Amino acid sequence: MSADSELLLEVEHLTVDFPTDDGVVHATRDISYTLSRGDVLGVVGESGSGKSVSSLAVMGLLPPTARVSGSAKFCGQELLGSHGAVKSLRGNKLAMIFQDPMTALNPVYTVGVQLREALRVHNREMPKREITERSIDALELVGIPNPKSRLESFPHEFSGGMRQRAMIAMAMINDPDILIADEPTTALDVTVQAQILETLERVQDRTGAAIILITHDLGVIAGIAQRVLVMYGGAVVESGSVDDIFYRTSMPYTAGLLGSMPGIHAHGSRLRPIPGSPPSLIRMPPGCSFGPRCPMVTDACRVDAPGKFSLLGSETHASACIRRDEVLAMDDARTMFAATYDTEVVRD
Amino acid sequence: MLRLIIRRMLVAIPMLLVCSVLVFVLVANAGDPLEALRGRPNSQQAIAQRTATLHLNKPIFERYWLWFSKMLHGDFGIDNKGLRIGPQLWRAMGTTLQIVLLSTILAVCLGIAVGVISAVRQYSFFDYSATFVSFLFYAMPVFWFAVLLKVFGAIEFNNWLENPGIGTVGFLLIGLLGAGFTSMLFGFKRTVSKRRRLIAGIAGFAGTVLVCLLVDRFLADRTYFRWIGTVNTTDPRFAHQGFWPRLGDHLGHLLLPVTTLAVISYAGYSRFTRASMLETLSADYVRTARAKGVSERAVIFKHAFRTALIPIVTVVALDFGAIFGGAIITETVFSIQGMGKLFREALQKDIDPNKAMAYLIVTAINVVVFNLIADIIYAKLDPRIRHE
Amino acid sequence: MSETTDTTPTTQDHEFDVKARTQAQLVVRRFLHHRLAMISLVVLVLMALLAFAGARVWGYDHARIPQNNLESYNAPSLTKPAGRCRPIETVAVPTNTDPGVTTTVDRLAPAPTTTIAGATGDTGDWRADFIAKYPRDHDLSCAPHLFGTNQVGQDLFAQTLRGTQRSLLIAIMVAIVSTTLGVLIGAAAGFFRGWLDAVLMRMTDLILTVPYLAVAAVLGRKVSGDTWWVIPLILGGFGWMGIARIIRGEFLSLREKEFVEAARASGATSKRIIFKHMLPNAVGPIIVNATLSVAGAILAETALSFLGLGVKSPDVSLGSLVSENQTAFSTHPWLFWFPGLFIIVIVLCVNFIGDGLRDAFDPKQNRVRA
Repeated sequence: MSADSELLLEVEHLTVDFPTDDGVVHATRDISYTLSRGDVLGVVGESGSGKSVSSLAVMGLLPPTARVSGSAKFCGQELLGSHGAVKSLRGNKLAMIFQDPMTALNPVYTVGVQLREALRVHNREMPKREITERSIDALELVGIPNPKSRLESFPHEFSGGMRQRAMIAMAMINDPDILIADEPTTALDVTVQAQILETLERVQDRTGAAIILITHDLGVIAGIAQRVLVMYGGAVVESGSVDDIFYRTSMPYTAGLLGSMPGIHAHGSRLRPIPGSPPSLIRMPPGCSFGPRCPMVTDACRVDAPGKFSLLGSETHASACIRRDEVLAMDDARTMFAATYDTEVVRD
Repeated sequence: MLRLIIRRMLVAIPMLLVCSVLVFVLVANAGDPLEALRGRPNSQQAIAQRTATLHLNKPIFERYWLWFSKMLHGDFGIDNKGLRIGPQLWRAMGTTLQIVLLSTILAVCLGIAVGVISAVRQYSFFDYSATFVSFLFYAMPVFWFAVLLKVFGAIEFNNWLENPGIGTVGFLLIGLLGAGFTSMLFGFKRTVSKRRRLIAGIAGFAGTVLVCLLVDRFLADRTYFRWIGTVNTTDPRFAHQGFWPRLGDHLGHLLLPVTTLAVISYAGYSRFTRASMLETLSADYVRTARAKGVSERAVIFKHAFRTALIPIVTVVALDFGAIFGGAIITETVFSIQGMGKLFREALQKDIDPNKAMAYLIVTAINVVVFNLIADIIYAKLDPRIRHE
Repeated sequence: MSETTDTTPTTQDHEFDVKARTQAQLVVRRFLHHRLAMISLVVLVLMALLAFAGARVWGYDHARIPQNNLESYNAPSLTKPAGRCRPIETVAVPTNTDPGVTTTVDRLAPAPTTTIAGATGDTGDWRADFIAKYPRDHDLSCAPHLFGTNQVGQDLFAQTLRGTQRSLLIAIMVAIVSTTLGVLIGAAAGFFRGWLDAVLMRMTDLILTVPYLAVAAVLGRKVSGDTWWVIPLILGGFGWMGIARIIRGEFLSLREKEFVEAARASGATSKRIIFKHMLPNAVGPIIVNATLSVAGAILAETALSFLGLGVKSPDVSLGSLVSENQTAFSTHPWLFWFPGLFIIVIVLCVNFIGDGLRDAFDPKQNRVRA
């Protein structure tokens, strides 16, 4: 891990609100994390937990109606608010790839045009030949065969996995320090998913960029990330190293996520989805936002805001649960949802 | 590409054949071409003559074939007055083409510009007012608007030309327009502060009023002739004058019908452009472009607008084909000898079948041709089609 | 909510309630929140009420012509028209049963200028006399000419209300005809595909090649006063192509959906799949387009009236009013303004409602306030 290496990104108290006709949507609340060179940070949570919004805020890609507060500093430079900083860094030092490679590439331009554009925007003086050479190199890096002829292809002539590779090539072409990957494998076939993750790892090996990997799939995180943020209802509910999250779970929601994940169970045991659905981001329940779905909920949970990020024994492991010590002490926290299962009707 | 065109042609030709049958049947059942003659005394000879020219005593299939085979050679027959229809038709088409072309260019330029700004600055004051104006234009009956334009745009304006001057209210209004324009021009970016927009607006107001003052001084003590024409496309008084006076006269006559048609289509185009732009602006690839660090201007024009243009251009091409035959009302209000007028002449008390059919079939050919053009443009602009 | 202690707190149930809103409820809710559409709906309903109920109450009839010649081209006013509204006088009238006994009756004092020769006092029955003397309710009314009068003295307000009735009726009929045809044809083409689709779509293209207005003008030549209902049939019969294309597209994508495949797998008939499973899912575009076609039909009717086709005098529509009065514009502008403004307001309202409906049906819409 890279606790003492160069600090790239420092996010503090990041809060994003969207005013809508139905009320203010609190998309993310008070998010803080840091990212160092070479880090792979996994961000997990259900859809609507604010994981994408928080990265879009860092990239300055939220619609103008969004109200953003808090701070996000890249190498000491403030990214939020002041338009200048993030604008010159975007695509250059900070790069991002998106969930659906089918729609993320402009259908009317060739892949080459779009690659070259990414390069030229930040290198106005670069000669044409060099731009083409570097575009070919970028495609080669992500493992696209015949990169030279592929530059002239349109996105619709690529398969889904190839398009995502082209997206990665486009993001990496300027050698960014940070790559934010927003659910890069969700829209792809399982076999292709593995290839894309492998490509990401290779790219990171080669360039040393830090990666923020946003996903709802803990399996993806387990393979590639060193540190994990678990998000629920717009806030970070547990953070720590991969081992902390997987083996020293101290938040019932994380336990629930683990329990509903296929593959890491012993043979013959049931998947245990978390009953209920995520909270409305407009009218948050008082106290802990996971309270209404939590099998361990107590009166205290519903009254107070959660005991903010109390540190446990480890310096990097934190949880927002006031009963974190009890959860930590459980043999297998995942089984806590079994009880709810027998008594409650699944309404979904 | 060639294959696409050929394939489309293979669909278009049988369709035109069926269309000719449809047109023939429609007109044959629309009325009796002898109706007015029958009522008149001593009209036996006239009736016999018209029956002979229109082959009314022959069975309908034979009539169709006679009409159709002549039409294939570009002969549209003669009308009820005994005049050849061909030359009338070409002249009418030329006149209509002028108006339709000018109004389409005007409407497309304005509509796209306003639509793009509306979409980029969605829910801004500009967006709301532009939307309201296009809804208003959309809700106006064509001839109602044309008559208003005739009275206020031509008669009152011509009266004004006879004794021109701007007046205080005029100064204020034009100044305000100028202020709005400059503040919008300078304040186009969201980041521009309110104060700078205000300053730009005040400067615009002052500048416009200054220009108006100069124009006013220039206009004073002069009189002009009644420039804007409301009837026909030329004034016979100019027939023997030089090129420039004739052109001026011609433009003065085209102004109102072109404005009428342009305003109606502008409303559609601006709404359509706005919707199309809103869709592409929220597309994932636009977000990708922003994430690459592409400037906002390039994001809007190179990525969002380029893709939004595909349906817009297609719709413009389709509309152009349709409007060609559909300027009936505007042409009637301004007494222009175009296609619409020709059609209305054909629908007098005793229907003029050859004229009506000539109009309908030419219009149909136009629509089909422009459908084809729209298809080709679409394929040209959208690589997903091109490579199929 | 904090007083509950058991493990399924009410907040959770509340959470499920929010989720459980049906699609229809969501649409209605979104529409109710669309301010412009709601204002338009209220205005439109008020206008329809005015047209259908108001016209019955209003003192003037749209067709009847006053017997005096003072009311030609009266400008709009809020005061009683000249030569009208005689004072009410109380007169003794003999009863019908017993001529010796009289009763008192209130009536309008007869106006000296409007006496019709040979129509007075012949029967001895004052009611018959009165009606003979003032044969139209036009001459009994005391209301001001709010919108003025036309050349023969007909009240423009009454005409405008009548015209609104006719125009709305025609437009709604057009919408019903064109939507029904369009939905049936589009659904058949999109559901069965194959040769039926090809034939139906070629037919659609074919009808689109001939201008709508021209066809209506050719067909509408035979329409006379009593057969005005042919107009909406023609306009609707040649106006379904847009809806058909939209519904076809909708059906082409719907038929690939899982619930349709499930229905097919469970042996449902085509008819059942179309009407029970697919049509309800295409209801959004259908309603939106039907609404917008009402606006289009009002304008189309106006255009036809201008070409001298459509509703014939003495009956009126908004379109026929404007086209009849267009020559009077420079001298008697109100004749042109009022019906024209009615058309604009109605079409604007309908379009705004259509726009609001489109927003309400669009699942992507979660309009963010600026």
